[in-house]
Amino acid sequence: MIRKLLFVAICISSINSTAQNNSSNSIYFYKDLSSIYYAKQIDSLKKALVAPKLYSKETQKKYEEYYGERVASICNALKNNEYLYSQPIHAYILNILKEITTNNKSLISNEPLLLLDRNSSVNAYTCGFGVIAVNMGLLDFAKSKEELAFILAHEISHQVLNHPENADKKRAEWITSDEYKKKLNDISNSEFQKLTQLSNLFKSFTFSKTRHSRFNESVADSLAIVFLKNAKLPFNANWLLRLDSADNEYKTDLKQELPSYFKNYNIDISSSLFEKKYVGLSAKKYNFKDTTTLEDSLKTHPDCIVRYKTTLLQTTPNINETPIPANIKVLAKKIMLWNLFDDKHLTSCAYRVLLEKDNGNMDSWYDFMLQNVLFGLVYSSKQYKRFNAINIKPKELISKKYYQLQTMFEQVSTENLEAYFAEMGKGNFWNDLTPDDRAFKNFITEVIAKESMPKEINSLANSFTKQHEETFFIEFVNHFKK
Amino acid sequence: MRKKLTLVSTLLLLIIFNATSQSKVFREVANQISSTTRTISQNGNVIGYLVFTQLEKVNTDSFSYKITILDENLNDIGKVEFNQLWLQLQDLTFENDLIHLGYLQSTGMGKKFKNYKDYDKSMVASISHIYIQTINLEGKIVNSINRLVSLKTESSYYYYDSKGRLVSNIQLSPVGNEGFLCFYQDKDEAILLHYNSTSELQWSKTLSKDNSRFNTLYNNKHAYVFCNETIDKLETRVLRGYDIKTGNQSLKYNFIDKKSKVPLSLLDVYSDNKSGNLAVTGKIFRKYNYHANTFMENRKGLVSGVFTMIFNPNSKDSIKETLTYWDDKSMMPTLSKKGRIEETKTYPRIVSSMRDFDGNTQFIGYGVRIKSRIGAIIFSIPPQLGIWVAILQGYRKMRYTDGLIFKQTSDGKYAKVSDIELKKDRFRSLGSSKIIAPSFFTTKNTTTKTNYVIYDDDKNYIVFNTSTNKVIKKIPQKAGRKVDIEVARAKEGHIMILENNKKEKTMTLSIEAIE
Repeated sequence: MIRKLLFVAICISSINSTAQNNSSNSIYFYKDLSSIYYAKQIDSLKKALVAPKLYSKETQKKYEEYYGERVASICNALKNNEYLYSQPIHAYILNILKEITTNNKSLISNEPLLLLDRNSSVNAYTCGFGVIAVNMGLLDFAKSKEELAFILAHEISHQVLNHPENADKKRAEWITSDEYKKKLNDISNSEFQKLTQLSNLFKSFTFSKTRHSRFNESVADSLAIVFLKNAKLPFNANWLLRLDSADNEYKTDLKQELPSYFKNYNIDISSSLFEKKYVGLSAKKYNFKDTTTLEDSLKTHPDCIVRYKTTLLQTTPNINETPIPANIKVLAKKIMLWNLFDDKHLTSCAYRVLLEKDNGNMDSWYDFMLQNVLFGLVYSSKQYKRFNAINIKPKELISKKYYQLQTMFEQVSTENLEAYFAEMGKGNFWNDLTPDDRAFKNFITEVIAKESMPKEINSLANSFTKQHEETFFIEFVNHFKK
Repeated sequence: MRKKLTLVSTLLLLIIFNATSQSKVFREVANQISSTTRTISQNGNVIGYLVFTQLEKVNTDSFSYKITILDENLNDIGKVEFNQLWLQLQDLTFENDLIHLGYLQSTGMGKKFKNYKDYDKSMVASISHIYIQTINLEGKIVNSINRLVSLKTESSYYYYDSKGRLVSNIQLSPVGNEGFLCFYQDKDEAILLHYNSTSELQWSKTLSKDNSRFNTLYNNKHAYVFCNETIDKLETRVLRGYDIKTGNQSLKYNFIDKKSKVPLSLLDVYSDNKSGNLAVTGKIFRKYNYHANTFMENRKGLVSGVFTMIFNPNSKDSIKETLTYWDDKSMMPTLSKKGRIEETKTYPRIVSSMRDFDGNTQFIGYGVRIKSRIGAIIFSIPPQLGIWVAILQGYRKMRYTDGLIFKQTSDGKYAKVSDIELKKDRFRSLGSSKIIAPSFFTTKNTTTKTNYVIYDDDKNYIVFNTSTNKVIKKIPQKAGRKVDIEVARAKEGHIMILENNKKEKTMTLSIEAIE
């Protein structure tokens, strides 16, 4: 097993050593996407990662199935470009990881393999096989190197304690156990409440798994604090409290009224468009349960309060936290925003841009992204897919202004959207953007003009690809190829 | 968001995921689960959706149920779970932020029997009720009503599944924000009931069980009942109005053409967009129509006009009748006496109608062209052959032409306002099963005061704005060989677009603004 992990480690570290630096003009290059960057390694990973022989025939079969699912999941994620390689971010996080591992050599036998996930959720995770993935959302959220180090140490702890592998083993053992089979038979033979019995059977496993997982989280916290101490890094229990609110990103309200953000681009949007014109259940005062707060079990980081209380006494006094370098934060945010746009999460993307405006960010790249959002809305409207592009969220999970923004996106006519898009195209901010950015603007403008001509759009996409083959825009442009 | 058609619970998904390995018990459990989806409407607009799911049998007579309520954007806003005897959801209505659900409940149903004797015995001993359940928007069952009913029993001799039914299913309609009407007809009686929002009975009206095809609704302080009654040996649609406060009869109207004495054929009933009163539209027949709702009605010149009636028992002028006859050229200048459009030689086949926001009625349908089959006539000159030609092919052929919209003004003027070009089919023999009439549905936007007709011509969905007389969208029904697209009614001013990708086995759903 260790040999295989080392092999994988060599595969990935060898890629890192040949990586090129990103140009300052581009947030990343097309070839940095995981399907290209790790292309040769995906097959090697599949071959290298084989479930060890641990059990009798039946349990082993199940174990191999679950293990295989985990391998497939990471390989598919790599193929689907869920990850990317960004040299500055990678180097920054790797340094923190090394700071932890080199000072804990007796506890951490292998250096973790780092992957950068483009996802906007505030999270880092380990999928086993020595892999630790860090979401762009986490980099955007974390305030200091030390806070990030704690989260990384927590994930290394899961790795060291073999938590992902143990979960597969437990599941395989349970599903092939005599007790499970007997209970299934009992359910089959019973006349009533089969669903309840089946549900309880699974709940008992899930409960034990959850309990186990809660225990795992707590153990991982404790070990992470040990790792940090050995690496002379501080710990602050308040970081856990901050993580508890990590799912509230769209509950932060905007500082200004929505029309004023658009007025900066000479776009006059009637305030009535931000108010719902039709009556639906979403506008009623329903309260089936208290949905204003997310159930703890549904949070990205459950049990944070309990974990905070447990670790409070271990907080290092007088911590001087080192802010995450601005270039890393900016890069992570831009990668995340681009990914939201490419994934057609247009309201979320636009809202995050407006939040940046509230922070006084004058970078024209954000104006560029707002124009891209307008393009997405126009194009998806013409394709009768605006509903999915807006991705309407229930009001209890978002701020009032977010609700108004999605309402406007829903109610504004396609003609008006086109006019807003055209108006933004005249903005002064374009002077600050790169020739590649402007070429992309020309491409999307042409796509709107030729929306009903797929062949024309295909040739436009091919021609753009030829001229800008290295840019990260290619991933998006590929959506328009046949 | 990959929008959810996933109206199944997580548990059900869990079952599906595990079904391959533990097939028997999971299959048994999955087989017990059944769901029905209904729209929740208010003032004729979709405001949400409700999924009623029977989960499992909890004891000899009872089942467990789950109600999932989704908003107009298909976001899940709540769930209600309860145990009850066997239930069949028949109707629901929404008023005063309460959802009233009308079920048929029975101790005899939801069972299987080894033989007919056991089945018979059980059905005789069974007790059935109308069960009306009220749920508030906090997910609480706040009220319930039980009314004993006697069912018409039927049996499936093959499976011996217990089956029984009402003569007319439960109909619920909201009474503004002050309760609801409930109608049903069992073996013994047809009854109309008015309950307030807290499910207290205000009044009830027993209706003649000799009548049939009951439809009930509330409009502007009156409860209305439509039914078929035999008048002068002819089945005639009759309307009765009841004052909502007292339950006293306030109106009776027999839908008979005063000129020809022939019963009128009703198309649609709704609350008038302009006046808020009850509007009824329909077609006038020259003679009693044994072929109603077939294309023959036009060919034979059976339809002699259209009508709109506005009922308002609150005023002295309680009934406003607007009738247009084809032979009245001052009212109807472009149709022949038989109702044919002379310009295109097509017969309009009117199948629906809607009231616009200016007080006009828009009659909607499509054109029918009928021709003689010259070849068949020549072929049948030897009389022996003629019989076979007549039996197998007939002497006439037809095809549907464009979508047609006519406008009837409040003074009875009637004119074609639009031809909507639909996919051209070829002429086919009259009896051909390949003749498929174009279908359509209507929708409106009360904010912009606009009416829409969405035609389905088997190639495109054609969205037509009847206020501007313009085709505003053509949505192809195929996006490539493996992707089918369907369009349906959604929340006000919107349509629902379902994209079924047969290759990727995915279904995406989108709710799009019409304009």
